[in-house]
Amino acid sequence: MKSRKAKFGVACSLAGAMSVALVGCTVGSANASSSASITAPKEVLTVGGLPLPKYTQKANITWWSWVPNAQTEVSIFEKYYPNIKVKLVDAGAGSTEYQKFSTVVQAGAGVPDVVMLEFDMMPQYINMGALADISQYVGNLKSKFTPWTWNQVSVGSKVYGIPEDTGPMGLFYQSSVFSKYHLSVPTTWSQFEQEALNFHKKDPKQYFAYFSNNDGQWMTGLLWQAGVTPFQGSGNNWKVDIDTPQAVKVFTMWQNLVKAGAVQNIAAGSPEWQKNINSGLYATAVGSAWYDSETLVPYDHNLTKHKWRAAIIPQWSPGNTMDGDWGGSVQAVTKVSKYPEAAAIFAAFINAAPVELTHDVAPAKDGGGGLFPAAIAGFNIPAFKAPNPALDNQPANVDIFEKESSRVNTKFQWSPWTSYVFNELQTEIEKAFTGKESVQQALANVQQQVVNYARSQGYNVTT
Amino acid sequence: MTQSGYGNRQVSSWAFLVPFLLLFLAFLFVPMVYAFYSSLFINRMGQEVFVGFRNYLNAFQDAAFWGSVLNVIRYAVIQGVIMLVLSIALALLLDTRYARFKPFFRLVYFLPYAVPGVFASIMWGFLYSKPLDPLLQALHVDPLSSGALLYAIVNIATWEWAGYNMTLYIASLTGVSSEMYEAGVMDGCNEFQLAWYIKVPLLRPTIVMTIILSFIGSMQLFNEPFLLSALTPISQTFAPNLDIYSMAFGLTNLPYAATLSVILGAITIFISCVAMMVTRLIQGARSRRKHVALAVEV
Repeated sequence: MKSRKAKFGVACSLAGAMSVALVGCTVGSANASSSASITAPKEVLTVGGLPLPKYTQKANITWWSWVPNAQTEVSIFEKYYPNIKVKLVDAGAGSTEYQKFSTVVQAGAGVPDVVMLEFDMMPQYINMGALADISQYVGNLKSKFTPWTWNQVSVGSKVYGIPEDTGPMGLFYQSSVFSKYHLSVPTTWSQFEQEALNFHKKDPKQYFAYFSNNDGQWMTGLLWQAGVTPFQGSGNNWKVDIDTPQAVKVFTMWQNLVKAGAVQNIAAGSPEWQKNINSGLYATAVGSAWYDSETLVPYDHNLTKHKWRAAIIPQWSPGNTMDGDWGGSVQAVTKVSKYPEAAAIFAAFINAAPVELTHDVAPAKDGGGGLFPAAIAGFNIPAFKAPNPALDNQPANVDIFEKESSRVNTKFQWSPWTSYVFNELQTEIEKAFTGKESVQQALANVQQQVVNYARSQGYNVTT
Repeated sequence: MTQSGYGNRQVSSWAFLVPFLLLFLAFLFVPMVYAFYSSLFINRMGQEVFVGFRNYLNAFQDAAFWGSVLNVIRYAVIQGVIMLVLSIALALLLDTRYARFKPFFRLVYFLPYAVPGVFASIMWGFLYSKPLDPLLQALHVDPLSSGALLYAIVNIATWEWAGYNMTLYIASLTGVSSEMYEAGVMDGCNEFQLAWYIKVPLLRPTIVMTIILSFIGSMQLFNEPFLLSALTPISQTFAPNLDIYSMAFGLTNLPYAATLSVILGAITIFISCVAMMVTRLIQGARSRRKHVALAVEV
């Protein structure tokens, strides 16, 4: 699930999101662990191709989630695991939920068994000791998920959650505007920049795109897509490298376009932005797999006129196929859960069992979960492949996002200080875009602040 | 008899104090002590590690935090002056003999205070949205731009609190015996002189109190920037409380949030004490001058 809704809410900038961590060196070692867990003396039940332990005791678990129509996921699950009763709690979305979750974890009371978290929050909660290692129950499922997502929920051989959905990034564009002005879909960022400047000259009343100045998660997505890996490490040891030449290049392009008036620097989610989306003021938008269902459908009431479509995201080097991710969630089991095995089975089942995936990928307004699934089996479901009425009937999942999903840079990691990083990034980039400092200086400040903060918290940081 | 009567009185006065003391201890004193205690640790990989005053050392070098403190002091001064001048002016106007429909206007000016701060911020957020507001477009003003934001928030707070402070002034003016005004009128005071030479000096203790309350309130600035940050990028270091909130609930760094809270509390207490002492000194100097003047006349 995306985080978009939560972020656009009032508390947007605050919590934003957080981060993640992944830990990079996991690929080889996780394999080893998964084979180890297969040897666990548990009887394995196969439900629609998903090997899960059999669970015969009684268990009552609580689940915090903001996925649309989540109760249906529970009903399907309880048919297969009648011993496990799941109580669904709506604790709010995104930052609202994180604040509650942090509070109950600190208090040690009222902690759910399974909690929904965005990828970027994972390292923070792993480092807090809030999450349980569930590798012994579900470590064998690694191959069922898009590889980068499994990296983001595991540290070495330990697994802290089940990936739910992702947001491989893409470029959305109004085909009505593109055909009117004879524009071609840019495949590189330099083409994007050139077209933006030309377009703005032809029609100074419109913008070629917007820059979301209140969304550090989106800005980080731009860096991810450019191959920047600002954080690498795990546990107590981290390397922080935010102000790289590549990162400066990314934000300098956007700064130039904002300065030229071709791109609007605006708070996504604000009333002005909503109005502009609805009136089709932006020819393009840098979004991700869920962008149409979470942004275009709710805010653009002229979809049939604007004819939005999705395209492969432009590249920084011609011929490259690099993508980043923006948004996406995990269902994690908490350390204090009395039924960690039941909770782990539940988290895995709802996100990877084909019977659940059929529901998960169906549009939310048709009673589904509206998710772009992290489980690879989800890509084969007819509803996933269907033409998307919100995107001029383009089968965008197949055409664009399934491809993009495999191109997401798997080396990228989130840090345990994501909300701090997002706040610094938003503050400094805004200063740069309003002419108070250079992009170079802005990123150097972010780097310095983040390193100071991390060190003050006892982390061992290299740069 | 007298002994035990005195003792009873002491017992009953303590009995009256108990509810206050309990609440004071439970919701102010204990949390303050606990915050201080928490500030001596860091949370490292889920473990609380005692670090002594290291958080304070970090905080003293935390330029962003001190920037937020300075920002909010600037805000407190600007907002305090504008609001209190306005409140005094409104109170004095409503207190003249010529004012009509007094209860109605008192209510109207007071009403914004009845709107919860959160609603007020959301409402003003929409009013400040330039593309939704033809007036702002015509004037080419964007209250939510980074340069204007502080003043936009000053305006919200003034709108909300001016009527409240006005009510306090009116209340203390009603306590003044009308003979005093009659004497002033007999001596040839016009309304302006009456206000300036009689009413304002009588209001002085109330003014001191409202200055201090308004300052303390301003130091706690939170709702307005928190809610407006959905509409425009506002740094978490715009105000110390925003910083503390995001530390505690965004980053789950409770020890450092506690550290910053303790420092903010100390700053607020310190400045309030200074404000009180300065006013006492000024008043003391005035009354001494008055004695001197009287002595000279005599």
